[in-house]
Amino acid sequence: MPHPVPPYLPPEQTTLPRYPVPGRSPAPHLVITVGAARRPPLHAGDRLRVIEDAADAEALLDAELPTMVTGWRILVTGTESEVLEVRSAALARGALDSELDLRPTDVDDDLVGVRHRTVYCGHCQARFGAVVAIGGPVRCPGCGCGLVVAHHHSRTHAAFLGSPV
Amino acid sequence: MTLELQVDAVSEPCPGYRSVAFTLADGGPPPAYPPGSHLGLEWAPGRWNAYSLTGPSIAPERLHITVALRPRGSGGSRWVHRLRPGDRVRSTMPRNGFAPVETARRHLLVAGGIGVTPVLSHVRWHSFWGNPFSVLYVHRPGAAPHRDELRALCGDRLSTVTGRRAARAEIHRMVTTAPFGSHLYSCGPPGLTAVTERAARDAHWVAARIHSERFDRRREPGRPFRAVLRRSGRTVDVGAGESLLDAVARIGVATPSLCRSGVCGECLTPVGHGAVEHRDTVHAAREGRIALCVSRAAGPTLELDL
Repeated sequence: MPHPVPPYLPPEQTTLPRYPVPGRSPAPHLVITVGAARRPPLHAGDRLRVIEDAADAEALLDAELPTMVTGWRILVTGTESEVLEVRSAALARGALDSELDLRPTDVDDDLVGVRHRTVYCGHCQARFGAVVAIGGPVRCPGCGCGLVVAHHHSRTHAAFLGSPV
Repeated sequence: MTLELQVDAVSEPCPGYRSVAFTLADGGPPPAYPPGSHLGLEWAPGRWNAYSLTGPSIAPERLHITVALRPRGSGGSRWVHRLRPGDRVRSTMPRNGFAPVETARRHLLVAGGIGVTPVLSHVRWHSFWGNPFSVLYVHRPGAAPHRDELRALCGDRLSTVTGRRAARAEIHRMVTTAPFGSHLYSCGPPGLTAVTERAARDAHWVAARIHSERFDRRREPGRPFRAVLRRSGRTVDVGAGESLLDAVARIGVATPSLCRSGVCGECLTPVGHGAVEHRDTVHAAREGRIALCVSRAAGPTLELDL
């Protein structure tokens, strides 16, 4: 199967998500944990909200953001797929990257290794989960197309691009 | 690209301030521009100053500026105050380093003195589109150009204060009660913009929500340093009271420049090596560049891609 991205491009220069660990801002945080993720330590003034499914983030943010003032941060923990879906909902509601603190629980230093990833089919636009490496093959459950997971992650779709081959 | 302007009308909104309305010399319609834009006007051969546009930015019939008289300035404001109807002026196209962020949940505007000019153009835009906004106008007693116009556009969304302490209290109130997703814009003397930025940072605002434009011709002196111009293979020693832009011009290396206040972005130059003390308001640092007109080396030498 052909490699969708020339191997000379280092992963750092792609849109593959990375999770720098900033020092925690002294600002008050809206702390969102998704599913079974362990709750991070809370500071005075923080607000903890637990959602079962990342899809609930939209309703949660619609309820919480109007009660927050500028200066608040949003800390999200859960699996990478969940955290990125919450980020997409937060960005769509006006949050900025610098206000988001993402703490995925299933990510190691290997940007491109095999793990559970949400993939967006470039042919039929289905979103689905798969255990796959960047550059690895998957079959789209929507249209049956053979896809290669590209070195591209969409912040809007919260998914890696599956490029038809 | 330059525009040939003709002075259509002049007026004095209050003592020490001059408003000038320009038309295009060829009679065509002036260009539309985003709010917060300025014109660079050539007030002496090769000398350009930037002045914020105050009028309607959508399909403008004329281009409006208001300029405070700086009796001890280098001469640009005195020149504006001498303009008469019919005078011809060479100008840049409108340019912008201070536009509103369209995704903002609310726009908070802080104007100090003549810093009201770009804020007025923001307010026209927000009123037109129905965007949520509020304005704080800090001015000296009896010197508040455009206040009545602002009042008419803003209603109770405008508050005006005259004292420094009252200004601080009002700024604090604004930045601690702004709904999540707000953006803050301040324009005025460096003291006011610094107070505003600090208040927002203290309230944990991230930098991307804080925007400011300073109009200040005085350049703080700094330590002397050596600039190495990589492309032209030249070296120049920059004196304590000299700007990097002037030093580079002194040895005959041509660089574009316009506002000489770190607001227009015309003189931004890529930095090779060396730490920079950034003094501009166009975020040159984010792009690894330096505003030659106001910024300096933070160490003994600075290498530039020039």
